[in-house]
Amino acid sequence: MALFGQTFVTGILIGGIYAVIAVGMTLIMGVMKIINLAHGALMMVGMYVCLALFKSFGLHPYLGMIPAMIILFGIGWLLQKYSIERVFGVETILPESQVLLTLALGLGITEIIRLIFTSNYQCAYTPFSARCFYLGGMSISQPYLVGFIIAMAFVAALHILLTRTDLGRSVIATAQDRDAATYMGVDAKRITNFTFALGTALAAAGGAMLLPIFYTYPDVWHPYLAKCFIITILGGMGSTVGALSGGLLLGVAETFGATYWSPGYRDVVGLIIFVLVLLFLPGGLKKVIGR
Amino acid sequence: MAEIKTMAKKSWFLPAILGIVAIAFPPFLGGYFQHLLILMMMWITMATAWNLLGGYTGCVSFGHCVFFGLGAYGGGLLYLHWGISPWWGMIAGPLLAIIAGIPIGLVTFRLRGPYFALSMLALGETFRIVFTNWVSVLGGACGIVSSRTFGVEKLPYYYIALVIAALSVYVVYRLMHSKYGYYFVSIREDQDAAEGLGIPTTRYKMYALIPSALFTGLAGAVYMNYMAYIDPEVVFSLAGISIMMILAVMVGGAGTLGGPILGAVIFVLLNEGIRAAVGPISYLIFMVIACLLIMFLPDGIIGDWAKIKRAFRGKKPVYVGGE
Amino acid sequence: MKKVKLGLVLGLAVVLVAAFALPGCVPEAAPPVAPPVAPPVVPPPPAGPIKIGINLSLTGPKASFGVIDRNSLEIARAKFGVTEIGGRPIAFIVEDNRGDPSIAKSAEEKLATLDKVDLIIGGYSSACGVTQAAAANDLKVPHILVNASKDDITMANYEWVFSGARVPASHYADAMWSFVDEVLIPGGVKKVALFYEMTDWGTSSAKGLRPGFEKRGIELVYDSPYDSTATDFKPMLTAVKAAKPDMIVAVSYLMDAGLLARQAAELRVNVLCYMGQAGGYTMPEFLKLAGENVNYTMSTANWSRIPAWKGEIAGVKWTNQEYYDAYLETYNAEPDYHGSQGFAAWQIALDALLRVDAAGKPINRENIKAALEETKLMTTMGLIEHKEWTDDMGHHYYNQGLPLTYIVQWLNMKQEIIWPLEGKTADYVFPVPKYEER
Repeated sequence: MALFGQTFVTGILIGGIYAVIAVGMTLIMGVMKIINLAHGALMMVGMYVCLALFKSFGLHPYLGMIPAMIILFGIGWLLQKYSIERVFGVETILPESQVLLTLALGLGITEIIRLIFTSNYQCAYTPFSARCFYLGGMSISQPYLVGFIIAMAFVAALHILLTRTDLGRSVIATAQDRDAATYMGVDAKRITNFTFALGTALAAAGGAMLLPIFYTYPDVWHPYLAKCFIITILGGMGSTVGALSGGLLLGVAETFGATYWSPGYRDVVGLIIFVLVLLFLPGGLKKVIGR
Repeated sequence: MAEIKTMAKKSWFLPAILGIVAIAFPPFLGGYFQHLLILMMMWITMATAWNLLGGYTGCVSFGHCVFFGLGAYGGGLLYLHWGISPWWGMIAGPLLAIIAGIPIGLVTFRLRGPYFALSMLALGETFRIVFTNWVSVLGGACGIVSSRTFGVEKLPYYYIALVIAALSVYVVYRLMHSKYGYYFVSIREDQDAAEGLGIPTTRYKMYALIPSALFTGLAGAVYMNYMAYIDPEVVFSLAGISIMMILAVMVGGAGTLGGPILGAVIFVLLNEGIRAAVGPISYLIFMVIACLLIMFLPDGIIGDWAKIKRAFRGKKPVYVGGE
Repeated sequence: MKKVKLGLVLGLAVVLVAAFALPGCVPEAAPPVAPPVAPPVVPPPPAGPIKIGINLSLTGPKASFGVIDRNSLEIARAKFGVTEIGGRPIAFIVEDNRGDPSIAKSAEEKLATLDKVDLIIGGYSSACGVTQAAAANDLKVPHILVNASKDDITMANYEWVFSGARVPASHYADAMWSFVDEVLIPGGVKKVALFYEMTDWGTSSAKGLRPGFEKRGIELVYDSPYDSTATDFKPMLTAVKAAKPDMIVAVSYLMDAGLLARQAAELRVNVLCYMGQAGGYTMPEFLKLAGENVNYTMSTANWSRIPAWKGEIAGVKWTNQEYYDAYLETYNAEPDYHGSQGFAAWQIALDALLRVDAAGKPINRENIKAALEETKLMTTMGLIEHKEWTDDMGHHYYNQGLPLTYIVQWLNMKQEIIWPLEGKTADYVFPVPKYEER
């Protein structure tokens, strides 16, 4: 029972952090209908911004998260405006050239970070990173719990932003029907830039939450990118609730796979879910929950 | 399609000249350049194979490393378990790739666009993890070290790779000039319309997938025999194989016959040239060039040839998305 | 349409001609220019530099250790201050292989045929090591390996490839077995949990470990690979805890070692002994990552700055500590055994070059190779000899030495050598106290 409980709790807590990273991607995919392979690399940049703030000013990653999000918002906006927008919506033989562009951007960003920070593994541990408390034979790590709570707050705030404000409604309108939104007076280009920047900032927030419990190096993002896709497809594009439930589900499924099957196959669990959802639940959990 | 025909009309002698150069020239080159030529032929095969499914039929696969890896592992596994010459992998590898390709196609062809791309990506990763973990049957992360037949001599590998590359280009050329070709392109341009016209799209996608898997697998088998070492990290690599295949095709021009060839040549030369010239920042420069190419020539060098010509004639180039 | 057909026929002709050219009829295809491949063998002008090729992964996911290797080679070069031998300056030509075996082969070929180097040093990852070694042997360039620990590389009878200071993966645990026999088994260790990172290094280490436990009648109650890039290892550690082992044996890189130590403490996975297999557990950063949870962790090791190994090359004395200090000062980071292997690689290379020169022979590939075969040198990794021998697992090695391994334990946040007893810097603590009681 302790084994089961521990596995479940660990899965839920890590799933919350996955959800924040993925919610950014799901927004971008929802509005732009393209796969953004630079998302993971931008999360990594966010981690490095927090790390630099931690190293030079001793700013705890949870506080460094705010400047990191602002900086990444800017980077996201610039990338979208000056690079991705150029190929966005252009008639080409294969629309996937945009996907490839985002990937090349991601790999390029990785190399820039490597030049600045070297390839060394770096971390921002504080005594807080190792703290945990015990609950009926299960150990609950405090940084995981705090990360989870912040993550939930972000998802809730984003949900409110999207459903209760004009800006958010324009984002949703653009996602649902770009042309119709344009006719209704929404500046779709601006909204797209905003969405991309917001998604990037959220990725940075997720990275900042990972920093106290994990570590960073320029290629840290590869597994997280894969997880983002899985969650996006699992939850349904453009849905915050979908991303949240998808993130939690993936976190739990992975940890159960690692505990009861084999730690070596933990990523396969996610990938199997991914393909199954694509085949049997197109549209993702969004459809089931009814948004 | 019209493009291909004009290309063929204008320069039907081009393949002949290229062929003669490709056959007669390499013996005079040093080992290093022969090595690069072998890689080039391998990448031409892979890019051409990918182009058939991705460029012509419109099923952009982010997981072609599955077929490459299986092609490589066909020979590797024969060698690992029974000590059979890995050259049998030239048959076993592609066969394995096709056998795996059919169910993969049946499942993933139900999906479209980005969903298809992502599901292939997921499959590629799944194969990598399974090949890494299943030590008893697949050798696991340690990979397979096999024997090398020709030792120092590179020319035999080169000519084998050349024949395979030429064969892949020829097969794709023939396919694209048959009714299949028209069906493939019609599926890419508008799948619903193609279905409306009564084209069984899944079946025709499969007709594109099988040769594509076959030649990618052959390239993998060549790699296996030439490098005499494979491991899952390398042959099922997303960034190193799947993505680079697409990049090579897109740089040259997707959906054209010459595009993948040109793209693969540029890819190998640029990659190695920058690496040898500038050292550790080479990958960054390579990626910057890739970004610029995609931004300004989204249809590749051959696809956007008109645009390039216009730019060189001194007329103001019309940048896509700029107006 | 006619022209298209013509194109087709021509294309077919190309294929056919290619097919004819295939079965090795290369000399016939080009009879007038007889030996096509190598240009006439003219010995390089004596005043040209002695070129040393360095072939390492400096970018890409495996960059961090490749960079440590390169830095350590540079430190070694600066340390011994030999800038020319026999009037020829020494030049390093550094190639980045991105950790990709096919690029590693390209780089090796370039170094050997275009740059015409006299010696190549390189190979961090095993995959690159395999293709580099094969290429070096084909091209007849002496090659000194740095880290690539795959056993097969030196089992392939490559006469041009030298193991240098690297340890074959299956021998990382050599020092552990006597410790197991004399301390752990009498101390009540009956059940072992083994987990290892799932790439080549971890898998081959685990393969080397299993028979040892089997032979001693120790039961493996948990045996699993894991992905070292995972965020948390709690699921695995929870399962390990449920299996109730007496001892944990772990093969880990650096960051996963840190996470494992912390999370094992969080989950209170109490065992009599937690034994790492070199890798992350001996690195200085392990302390930073795991904080006080490093305490009582044991690990096999093949390098540490503690042992008082010393020697003299080219009239310059060195010790392990000096290398450590120089690295810390120059790069503001602490080196680990990978770096030490890089440092030792240059020690071995320099020693061979100097011996060739001292014998009055010209410095070229043949003579360097002959000198490397005779290598018997004290390095930062211990005494290195290049010999042909067979180990107790039946592995037959060529040009392979066996650097010493020993066991360290983290005590009071410091690494101490505890085994073999004659070299110890502190007494071992076994069984280790429970997490709750620390």
